Amino acid sequence: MSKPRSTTPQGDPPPSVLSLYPPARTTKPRTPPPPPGIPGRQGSPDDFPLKFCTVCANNQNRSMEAHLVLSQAGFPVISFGTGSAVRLPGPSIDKPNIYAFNATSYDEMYTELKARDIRLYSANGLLSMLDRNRKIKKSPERWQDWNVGLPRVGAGPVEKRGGGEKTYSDEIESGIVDVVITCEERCWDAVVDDLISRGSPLNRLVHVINIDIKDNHEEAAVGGKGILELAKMLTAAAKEEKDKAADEARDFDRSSVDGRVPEILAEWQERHPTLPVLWTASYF
Amino acid sequence: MTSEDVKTKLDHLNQAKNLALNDPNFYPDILKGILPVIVASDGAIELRQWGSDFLAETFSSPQISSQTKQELALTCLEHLLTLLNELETGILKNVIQSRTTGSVGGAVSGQFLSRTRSISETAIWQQMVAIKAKILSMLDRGSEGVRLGCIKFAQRIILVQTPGASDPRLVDKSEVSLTIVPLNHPVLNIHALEAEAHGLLDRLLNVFQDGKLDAPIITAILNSLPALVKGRAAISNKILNILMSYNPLPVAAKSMVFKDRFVARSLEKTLRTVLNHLARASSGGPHAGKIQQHIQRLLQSKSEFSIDVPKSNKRVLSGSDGDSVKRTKYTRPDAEGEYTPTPPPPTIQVQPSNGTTYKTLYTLTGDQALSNFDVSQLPLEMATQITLATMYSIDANVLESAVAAIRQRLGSLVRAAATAASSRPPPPPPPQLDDDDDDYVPGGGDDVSDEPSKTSLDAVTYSDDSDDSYEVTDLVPTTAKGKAAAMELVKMPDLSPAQIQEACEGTLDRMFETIATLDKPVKKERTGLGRLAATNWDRDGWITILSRLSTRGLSGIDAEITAKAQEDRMHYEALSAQVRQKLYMYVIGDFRTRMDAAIAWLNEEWYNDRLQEISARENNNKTPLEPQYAKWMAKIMDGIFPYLETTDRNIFLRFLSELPAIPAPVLANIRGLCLDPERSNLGFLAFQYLCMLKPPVRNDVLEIVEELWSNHNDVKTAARKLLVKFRPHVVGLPPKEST
Repeated sequence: MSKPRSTTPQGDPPPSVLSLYPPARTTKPRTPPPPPGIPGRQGSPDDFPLKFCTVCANNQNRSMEAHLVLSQAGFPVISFGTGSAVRLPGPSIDKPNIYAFNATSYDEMYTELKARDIRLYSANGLLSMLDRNRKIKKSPERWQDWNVGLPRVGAGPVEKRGGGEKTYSDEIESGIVDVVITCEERCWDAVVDDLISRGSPLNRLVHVINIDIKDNHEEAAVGGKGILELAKMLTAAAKEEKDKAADEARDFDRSSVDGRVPEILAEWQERHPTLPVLWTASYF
Repeated sequence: MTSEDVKTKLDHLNQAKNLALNDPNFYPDILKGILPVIVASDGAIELRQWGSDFLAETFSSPQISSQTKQELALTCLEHLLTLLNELETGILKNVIQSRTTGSVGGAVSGQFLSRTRSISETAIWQQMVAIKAKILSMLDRGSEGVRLGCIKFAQRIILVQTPGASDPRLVDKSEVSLTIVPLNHPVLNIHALEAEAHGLLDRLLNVFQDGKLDAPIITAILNSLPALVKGRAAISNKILNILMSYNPLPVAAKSMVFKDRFVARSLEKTLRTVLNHLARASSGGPHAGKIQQHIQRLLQSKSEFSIDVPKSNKRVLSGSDGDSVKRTKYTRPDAEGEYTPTPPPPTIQVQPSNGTTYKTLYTLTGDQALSNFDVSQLPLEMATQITLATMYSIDANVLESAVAAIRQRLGSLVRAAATAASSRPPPPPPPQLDDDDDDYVPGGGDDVSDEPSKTSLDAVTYSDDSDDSYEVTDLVPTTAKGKAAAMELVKMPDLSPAQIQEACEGTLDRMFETIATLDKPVKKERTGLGRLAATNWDRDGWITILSRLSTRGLSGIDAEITAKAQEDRMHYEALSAQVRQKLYMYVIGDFRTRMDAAIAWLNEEWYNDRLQEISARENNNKTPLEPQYAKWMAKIMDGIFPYLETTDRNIFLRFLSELPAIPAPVLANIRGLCLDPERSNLGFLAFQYLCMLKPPVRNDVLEIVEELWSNHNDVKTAARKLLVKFRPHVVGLPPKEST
C-alpha cells in the first residue's frame, strides 16, 4: 500500500474551519477594449514630444496596463520591471510561478499556465492579463538590463511582426525616454539607484516619477488612467512651450517643460489624492 | 527657404536616420553629411532642431565606439560652437548633451595626450574652452531646461578636471581625469583646471545653502553628486559634509502650499536615496555611520513635518498591509479550488457499475477538484468540526435526497452484481493497479448510509486478495441489502470481574488526569443551601462525583460482583475501594491544596456511614457495610502527619474543624505532634481548638493532655496552659465557674 496521496498543499490548515467557504467571487474577464484609431501607430513626434517608460515589479500588471493605455493613446512608450524575476501567483502562496526576465515570452507563460490549470488561472485573471501582454510586446523586460540608448525598433509581439501588422506600440527609436513612471516606491528606489550606479554616461535628463498603485487588476486600471492623464498633462505643457515660441516668433529664449514638471505633478496630485506621487530629476 | 523645401529636406533626413538606426555604421557618414545643412544660419529652425537631436542621439548611442565618438566630436566642435549661439532651448539642451558626452566625456582630452605640441591642437583647445565658457555661463542664466543640462555638464567638467584615482589598479581605462595629463603639458595648465573644477563644485553645492527651493535643479544636482563622491576622493569629503548638513524639509514644509509639500517629499526622498546609495558604496568607510545617522534624522524630521500623504486615503500598498492584501489574493484561488462547498442540490450522476470504487459510490459532487480531495488528510478535530457544522446547518431535504441517491446507487450495484452472478463467468473487471484505496472516504457521503458499506467491506475485504482496489461490484454481496435492513448489534459478553476492575482502573486514571488539568475556579460563588453539587465540570464537581460514587453509587454493583467473584473463587477488590484508594492518593499527593477535596470526601463517607447504620437498623437482615469514615480519616492523617509543619496551622485546624468526627487514632497522632519539639506548638494548638470547639472529643483530648503533663517534662508548660483552662483541678487550681 502506498502512502495516501494528498491534493492539499503542505502547510498549516486554514485557521477557522467554519469560515472555509468564502462566497465565490465573480471575477470579470478583463480583455482590453479595442484600441481607438489605428493600433500600433505612434502619434507624430510633433504631437507627442515626450517619450515615456512605465516600470513596476514584474512588468506584468501595472506597468503593462499603463503601457497599453498610453500606447493606445498614441504615446511612445516602453515598459520594464525591477524585480529579480517575474513572479506570478501559483496554486498556493508558497508556490509562485517564477520566470526569468527577457527569456520567457508572455506567450510561453500564457501557454504553459493555460495547460497547467486553466480554471485557476482564468479565475484569478492571470490568463487574460498574459493574453493582453503578449499582444503588446514579446516578453517582460528587466529595467536593470536595459541598454539605454540602443534604438528600439521592432520589439513588439513576434507573431504580428511577420505580416507587418502591429497591435500596440513598443518602440522608441532613439532608445531614450524623457519620463519614467514607476508604479511602486520600491521600483522608484530601484530605478533612481540604478541610474546613479550607471553613472549617467549619456548625460541626458530624465524625470523619474513614482505613482503608488496597488498590485491588483482593479487598481492597475485606475492607476493606468491616472498615468494617461499625467502623460497628457506633461505633453500638453511641452507642446505649449513649443507653441509659445512659435507664436511670439521674436526669439526662442523660453523655458522648457522640465522646469514645469513639479508644478504639473502637484496639480495632478491634487486631482488624484489617492495615488501618492514622488519625483526626481536624474540623468541617463 | 519655403516650408515645402523644409518638409522634403526633413523627409530626406529622416530616411537617412532610419538607415543609421538599422545599422549604426552609418552614423559617422550621415553626421558628416548633414553637419553643413543643420548649422547653416539661413536654414529653417526645424532643420537645426532636427540636427541637434541627431547629434545628441549619435553621441549617446551605445552602439558607437568611444573611439569613433572622439573623432566625430573633433569634427563637430566648430558646429557645436555655432549651435550654442542659438537661443532655442531644445537645441541648446541637445547641444550641451552632445558636447558633454562627446567631447568632455573623454574625447578631446584624450586626443591631446596622443598628439600634443601641435598648433592645430591648440586651436581645438581654444574652441573647447570657448564652448565650455559659453555653457557654463548658462548654468545660472539659462532657462530651466538648459540649466539642467548645464548641471550635468558641470559635473562632467569637475570629473575630468580633478585628479582621479592614483592607484593604477583602480583606474578605469575609459575614464578621463587630470591624472592622465602630464604635468608639463604645453597647453593644459593642470592647476588652473583643477581650481576651475573646485570653483564649479562650489557653485553646484551652493544650491544646498542658499535656501531656495528650485526642485528640478536640486534633485538634478543630488543625482549627479554620487559619481563625484565615488570617483574623486579629493572632493568627496566636502560633498558629503554638505549633503549631511542638508535637510530640505524645514524650508519646504514651512509652506502649506500643496506643491511645496509635494516638492519637499520628493527632495527628501531623493536625498535619502542618494545617501543610501553612498552609504552602501562606502560601507565600512569612515562616513558610512554618519550617513546612516543623517538618514535617520531625515526620517525623523519627515515624520515631524508630516509631509506624507495621509495614510487614510493612501491607496498604495505599504509594508505588511500590502502583503496581507497580496496574501488573500494569492490564497483565494486555491481556497476556491479545494474547499468549494458541495453545490446544493447535488447533481447526482449515474455511476458506471463497472470499476466503481467506494470513492465514486459516495461522491455526490460533480466537481473534479473537489472529488479528488483526500478527506483523510484533514486533522481529526477539523473533520469533526466540519461534519458537525454541516449536520447542524444542512437542509433536511438535501440530506434526504443525498441519502436516497446513495441508496439507489448501492441498490443498482447490488442488482448488477446479482445479474452478473447469474450469468457467470463474467469477464473480470480490469484490475485497477493505482492506489485508489487511499481514496476510500469513510462517511464521505453521509453517516446514515455508512453502516451497510462497512459491513460489506468487512465481509469481503479478505476474499479479494488479488487486487488492491475494492471493486464494489465484487464487494457487495447479494445479501448486503437485506443485511443492512436487519442489522443488529452483537451482544457483548459480560465482563469478568477482572476485566471490570481493569476497566475501572483505567477510567479512574483518566478521571484524575482530567482533574489535574482542570484549573481551580478563581472565585467560588457561595450559594449556600441552594447549591447543587457537581453542576459544573470543574475540579470540585469531579471530586463530588467520585466521592459519591465510592460511597453510594458503586456499593450495589460491588455487592453483585463480589458475589459473582466469590462463586468463581476469584479475588475481587471492590470498585468503591478502588475509587477510595485513588481519592486517597490524590489527596496525599498534595494535601495542602487538596484539603478541600479531602474534607468533602470524608464528609460524604461519614454521612454514608450514618445512612448505612440507619438502614441496617431498619432492615434487620441486612448486614451493614463496613464503616469507612474512621478508616480513611486515620489513613489520611497518617499520610499527612509526617509532612505537617508549623506553618500548616491554618490548613490543619480547618481540616479538624470541618470534619464531622475525630476518631481516637487521630488524637493519638496529634499527641505525637505535641511530643515533636519542632511541631509541639501545632499539636497543642490543635488540642486547644478541639477542646474549645469540639465538645464530643474534649474529654478524650484532656485525658491525653493530662497524661502529657504528668509524663513529659519538656511539654509540661504547654500542657499546663490547656489544663489551667479546662481542668484546673489537675494542676492544683480551684475549678472555674464556667467551663
